[in-house]
Amino acid sequence: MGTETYVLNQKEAMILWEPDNLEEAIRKKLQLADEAMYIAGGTLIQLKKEQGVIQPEHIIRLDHLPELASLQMVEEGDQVQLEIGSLVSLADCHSNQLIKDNWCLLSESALQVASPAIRNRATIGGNIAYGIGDLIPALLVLDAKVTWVNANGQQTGELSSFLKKDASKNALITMVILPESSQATKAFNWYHKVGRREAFIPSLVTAAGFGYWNEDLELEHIRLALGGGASLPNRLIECEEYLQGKRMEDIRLEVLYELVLAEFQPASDPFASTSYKKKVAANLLVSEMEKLI
Amino acid sequence: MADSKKTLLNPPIAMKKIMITINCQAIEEEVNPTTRLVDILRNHLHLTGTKISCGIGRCGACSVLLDNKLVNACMVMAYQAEGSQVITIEGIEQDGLLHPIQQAFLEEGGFQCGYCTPGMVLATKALLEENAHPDDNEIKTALSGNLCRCTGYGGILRAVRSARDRML
Amino acid sequence: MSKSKERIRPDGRGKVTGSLKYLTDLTFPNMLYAKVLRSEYPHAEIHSISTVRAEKLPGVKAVITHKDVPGLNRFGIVTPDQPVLCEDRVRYVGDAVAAVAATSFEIAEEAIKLIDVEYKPLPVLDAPEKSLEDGALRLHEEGNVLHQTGYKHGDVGKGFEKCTFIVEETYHLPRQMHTYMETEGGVVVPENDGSLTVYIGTQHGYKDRFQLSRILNMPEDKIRIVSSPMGGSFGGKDELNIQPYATLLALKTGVPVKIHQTRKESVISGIKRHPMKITMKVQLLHIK
Repeated sequence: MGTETYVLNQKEAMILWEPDNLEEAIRKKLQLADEAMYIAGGTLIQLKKEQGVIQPEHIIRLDHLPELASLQMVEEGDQVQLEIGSLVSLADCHSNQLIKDNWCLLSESALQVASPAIRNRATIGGNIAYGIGDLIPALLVLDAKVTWVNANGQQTGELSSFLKKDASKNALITMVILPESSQATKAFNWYHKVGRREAFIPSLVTAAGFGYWNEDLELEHIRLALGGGASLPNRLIECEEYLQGKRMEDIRLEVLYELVLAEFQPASDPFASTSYKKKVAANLLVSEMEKLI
Repeated sequence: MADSKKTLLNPPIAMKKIMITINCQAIEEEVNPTTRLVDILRNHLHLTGTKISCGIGRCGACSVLLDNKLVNACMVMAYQAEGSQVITIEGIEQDGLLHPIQQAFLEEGGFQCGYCTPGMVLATKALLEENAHPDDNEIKTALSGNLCRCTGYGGILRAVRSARDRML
Repeated sequence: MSKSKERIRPDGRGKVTGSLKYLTDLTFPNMLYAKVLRSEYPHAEIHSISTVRAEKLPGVKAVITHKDVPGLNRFGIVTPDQPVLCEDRVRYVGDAVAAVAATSFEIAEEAIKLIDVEYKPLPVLDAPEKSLEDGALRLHEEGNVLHQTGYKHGDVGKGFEKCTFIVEETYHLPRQMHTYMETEGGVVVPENDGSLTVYIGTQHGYKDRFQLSRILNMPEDKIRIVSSPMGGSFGGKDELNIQPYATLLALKTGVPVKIHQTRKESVISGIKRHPMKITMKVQLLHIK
């Protein structure tokens, strides 16, 4: 058939680089900078391409690099942590037993992204590199760290600061690190994605919460995060501060509701306004807190 | 920008020869970086049971199994499938007999226009190989990436349940 | 199970095995691949169309514009007022301006980009009210009203006097798209005896034949329509879609021509149900 005789138009051609190892991939990216992009599962890039978004000329393949595919528990001082290679698929993030048992929010949130076929290809690194991936609120409340490499070399830092800083530009995420999960008996967590239908839909609001009470029934630890649509996911620092250390009976849900409305600043989109998203987020968060107290 | 000649990186690829095993047959194909797996299946090999509809992984009409995992053939680049085993709808009959999943779709009327059916059958196969006893919720999750626009979902769900029961 | 076995559909086996050839699955020897250039403007004058650069691209076998339409350059089952290929004006984003047949879809796609069309944008009439205003540009020679109809029975005014409740409201319905799984497409084969076989999914084989005969200036008995199997339609493949372009190109090149729209092309050009604004006054009468 005809496609075999086709000569690629130079302007639209994509040039594929297949590095032998991680160092080569990074070196190539630093050389080509904005003219190149990393590609792993490729599910987002293929979508953007079909939408007509102009793509860099060079693509640097990562999906064949075993260095990025591991998943293991590692001892770090007196703690253990889970190190998830950036190529680990969303399907594996969902079904891996270690993750299910200890960081179930990651497992739950992975199931909310796209469809089974996409989850088999899409990676945890890609979801973070996307900047607005649905895993991010869950990872934020789990105090995830990421390791990345850019022009300044390799660094490890909080996911939240990685997302905010310019760090993510031209960076290769190599690993996601989850600190040891809490063994507190009075721990709670929840994750919600609200879209325009039940499955396989971009989110309007994505919300996650994690925390635990101490023996005096004070909220010893609380993490709340919201994202959704094109909004950069963020922790709700002021809401957390309000809740931190409070006893159950001292939490006033109407105050919390107003705090969420004030702190969460989602962008409107063709399907939902900012005020609608704020309301959804406040309802989700307050109803989850209400269940606890 | 650094001098590219200093690196030892493999030369870039505009065209590439790859080997893929499709329905247990080794295939050699010349592809470029934007060739999709679905292009090879439909246009080069005329395996047109794999359909193309949305082109962006949202409808599941091009579902195939890549190393036994469900994928959208419109989202997998040909170079990514190098060295893999691909099973399409043409590859699941057993000794000329319908696979039990196909038999179930046939008997339960799990199709109308039929354009989504190959994808539905492969999504069901991927599900039942991982989970032999799926409940209705698990079935719905497993098929959530496969759209039927004739809205024959009732028949499709009936077919998947029936396939589950006959494969036990 | 025995009961369901009795209901096995005759088309079932081909559908569950994927062996059934939909018309967009067909391939013929020497087949060419076509793409349609469509307007990017909702409303504009066409000042010029140049196909010179496109024709020079290796692999391009034919480029057609309105000049290549031998018969009526219009289609429409009820009112044939839509241009097959626009002459001097485009009236919506998606109006067809030219088409290309080439040795691959990729080359046809490239060639489309090499067709130079000079447009002069015109004011956009994006609401029925706007198009009825005094001085609104006329979209067609006959004006901007497509159809008017009325029905009267009894004395409505009197009836309203008697009723307990009156609800008067204006309702808005959005545009709807059929979104059939199989996008528009198929193959047109020029036969040795000068006739054409049109393998393109449609709901009205005979009407396609009638309309194509009018466009191609060709007797109806020289055109054979094969209309199924078809991957969904839901009313959306009532009207001609890409049939005129594939037939014109097949006649011009003398070889089979395939079109299979991408989803994006289908969304832009496919027929949709009109959005509606309905004002209704309803009376409720309390009968004791």
